[in-house]
Amino acid sequence: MECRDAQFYLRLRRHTTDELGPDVAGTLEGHLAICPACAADGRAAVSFDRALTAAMRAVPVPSGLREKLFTQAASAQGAVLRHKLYRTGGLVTAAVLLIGIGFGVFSSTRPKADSELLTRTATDQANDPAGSVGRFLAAKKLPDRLPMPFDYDLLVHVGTDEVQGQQVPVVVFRSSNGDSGFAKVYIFKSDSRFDLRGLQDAQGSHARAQVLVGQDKFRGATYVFVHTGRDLKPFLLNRNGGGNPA
Amino acid sequence: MPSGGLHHLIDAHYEALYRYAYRLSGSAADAEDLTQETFGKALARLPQLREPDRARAWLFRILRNLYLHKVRDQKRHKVVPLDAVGDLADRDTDQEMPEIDPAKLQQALNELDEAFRTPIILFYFEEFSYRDIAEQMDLPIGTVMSRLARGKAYLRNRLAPEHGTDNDPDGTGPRHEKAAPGPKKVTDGVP
Ligand SMILES: [Zn+2]
Repeated sequence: MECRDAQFYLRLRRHTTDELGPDVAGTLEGHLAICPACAADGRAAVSFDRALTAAMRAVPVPSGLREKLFTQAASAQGAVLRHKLYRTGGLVTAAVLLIGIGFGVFSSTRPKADSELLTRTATDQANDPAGSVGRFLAAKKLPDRLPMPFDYDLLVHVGTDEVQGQQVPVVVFRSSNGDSGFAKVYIFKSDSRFDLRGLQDAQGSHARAQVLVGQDKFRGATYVFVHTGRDLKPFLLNRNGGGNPA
Repeated sequence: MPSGGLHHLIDAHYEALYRYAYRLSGSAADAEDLTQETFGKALARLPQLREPDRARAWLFRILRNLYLHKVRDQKRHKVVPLDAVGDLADRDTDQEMPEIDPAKLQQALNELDEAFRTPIILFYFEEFSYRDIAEQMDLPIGTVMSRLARGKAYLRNRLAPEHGTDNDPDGTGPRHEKAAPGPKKVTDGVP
């Protein structure tokens, strides 16, 4: 092997896996053993590769990118699902799907956990449940309270649920009856990626879905109350009043 | 594919795709667009992904095609002409290569024609074998190896310590507008 060839192969030699093949690798090693200049170049190539590998991979990935990709994927999948729902005319199916999701039938993401942030959110929620819901909804550009007089001492969770591939804001209350009952309030924006026309109440074996289209101060939002039991009374401040949203 | 599958695909590959896009395009905004467009295309074409083990190569290929499509009509590239890249007779000095500034590397990559830039980037994302790179680029493996050797020789000259202090005052590297400093002559465009 001549020096020129040796230098060509030195630039291609990999230090983790040898892809040059035994013939070339053997001949190259033979040349390096007798040619100090190429051997020196070989050492320089290793050093260069190491430095370039480190620099090549040193690209900070924007922190919000993962979230954007998930939202985009959800939006695209939602479009497909909506199309399918239309074809079967199954808008009730949509509400039943909601209930299915409520019971954790569908699973999804594997987020990177930030325990400090989680603690802050939980503290905020414990100190001021109504306020934490209001701030969350306002941040989502939704009416900053719910259209029913929920008892915020029963608040369990405020966040988003994946519904048909879309992230949808949800507020969850436990029942005042002391049983395992719960109510989940899903809030759909009218300009959201969901087609809300004809969305209607639905009944599952363990849960009910009731739909309320926001008026006046609640204009622009459609609320789906998915709850256990006959009505929403166990979740409201005035438990003697009407337990249905409409 | 259920959403969990797509989410897994995103989680497994988005960082590598973004880094690849960034090194290809030299711009954070373009890299983000390219990554999003790649997953958009991938979702539409998921049924074409027959071997899940090949998902990364498949996604990289989609991304590169999107990138090539983007720059096809843009005559903004000022790149080093092919015959100026990598004189193999250059003997490099036998010295330890110090750390390379990632921004300076980007500047040097921007000066290279995509035909050289892509194999170099893929080479240093080590999971890509020469065969993988050849498949990505629809090229014979010998052509890939030749371009790699020449591209690396160019970068080695360009990034050698004596070139380490040239102009990049804001440390971000040029987009494509700046002519390559250093010993090589630079001309507009490459076929
Ligand atoms: Zn030699």
